[in-house]
Amino acid sequence: MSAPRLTPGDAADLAGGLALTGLRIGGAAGRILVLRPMRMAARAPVVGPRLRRAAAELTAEGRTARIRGREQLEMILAEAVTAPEVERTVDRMLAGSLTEALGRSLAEHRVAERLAGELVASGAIDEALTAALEHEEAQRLIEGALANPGLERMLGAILESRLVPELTERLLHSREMQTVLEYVATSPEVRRALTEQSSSLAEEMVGSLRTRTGTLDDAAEHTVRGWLRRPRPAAG
Amino acid sequence: MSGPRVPYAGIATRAVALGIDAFLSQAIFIVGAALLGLAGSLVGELRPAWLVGVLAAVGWALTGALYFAGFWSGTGQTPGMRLMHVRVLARDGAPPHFLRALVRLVGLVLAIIPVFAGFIPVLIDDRRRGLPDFLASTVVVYADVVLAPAAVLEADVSPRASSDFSDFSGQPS
Repeated sequence: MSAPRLTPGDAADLAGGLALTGLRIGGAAGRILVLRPMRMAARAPVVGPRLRRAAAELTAEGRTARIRGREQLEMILAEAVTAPEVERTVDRMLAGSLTEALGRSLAEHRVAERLAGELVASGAIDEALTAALEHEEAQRLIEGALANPGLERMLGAILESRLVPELTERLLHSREMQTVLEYVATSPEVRRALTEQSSSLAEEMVGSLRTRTGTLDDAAEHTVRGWLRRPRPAAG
Repeated sequence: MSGPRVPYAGIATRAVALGIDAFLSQAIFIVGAALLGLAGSLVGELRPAWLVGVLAAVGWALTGALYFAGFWSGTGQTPGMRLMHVRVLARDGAPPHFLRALVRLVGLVLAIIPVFAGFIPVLIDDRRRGLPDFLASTVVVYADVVLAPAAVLEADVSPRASSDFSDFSGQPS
């Protein structure tokens, strides 16, 4: 069995692998040859403090250089991203089959549902909706929309359209509506409320009748006793 | 409401209660007679006609007697009296027993016959008693007052007896 022949691509990968290995070896050697003696020297009584001070200065300079490097990297990236070339590239990509592939991928991995679920779970949507609705501009927009004659005409047209009776008919004959109606009709709370309302009405009527007849009792007795000049004895 | 501080029920309240009871007793009789007539029609027609009339009259009287005397002696209240919150009591403050209730029923019939003239004493008597109450030694009181077991009929409305009414823990409606 003969060894497989290296293609040009394999040769490039091999070179990359060799370079990476060399870097790792160099790093390890540096740590062993430089850092360890440095640490040992930093613990030495005389040169130790000087070395530590020098190391601290070097660390500060390195940190500053890192921060500046990041800032410069950000600027370069921002310039690169906003460059017209990038815009054209993105435009070409979206004009191609990438858009469909992206859509398929989003659908396949249920990205929208997961994203919506996360947003709902975190309460971000509630907060955003509340903030948007409570915003003065939103209030003005809503008031303006409601006062708009065009909206009124549109709503009127919708209500007068053939669609509304059909939708109503379908809704009334839907199984869900029947279930809801049955639930409401047989609901103990509704029945209790109706019973209480009926009984309270009857009680009120009877109570009113009793009050009136009680008044009439006294009035009739008072009248007849007046005719006979026979007042009712005081009860104390 | 102005009026005497006695719990005896007046003529209007009693009249409404009697009207309701008359309606209910008649309804019971009519429904019962209809059911019996329906059941009788399955086995054949009842003859002669006078027998039907006699049976109907006896049934009517029995229904009325059982209705009024039964409720009076049972709870001291017919359904109409319960609705109007009045109660009939015997001398001892309890509902009258059945025989006394029957006597009261006779008094009721006698009071109705002369165009309800038997109830006129309710307007005059200090305890608002009518002919049925005189005959059966009963009184009719408002039921929403709680009566002590003291003798009801011994109570008087004279100033001397005003302390007797302290036994009534409520006022008439």
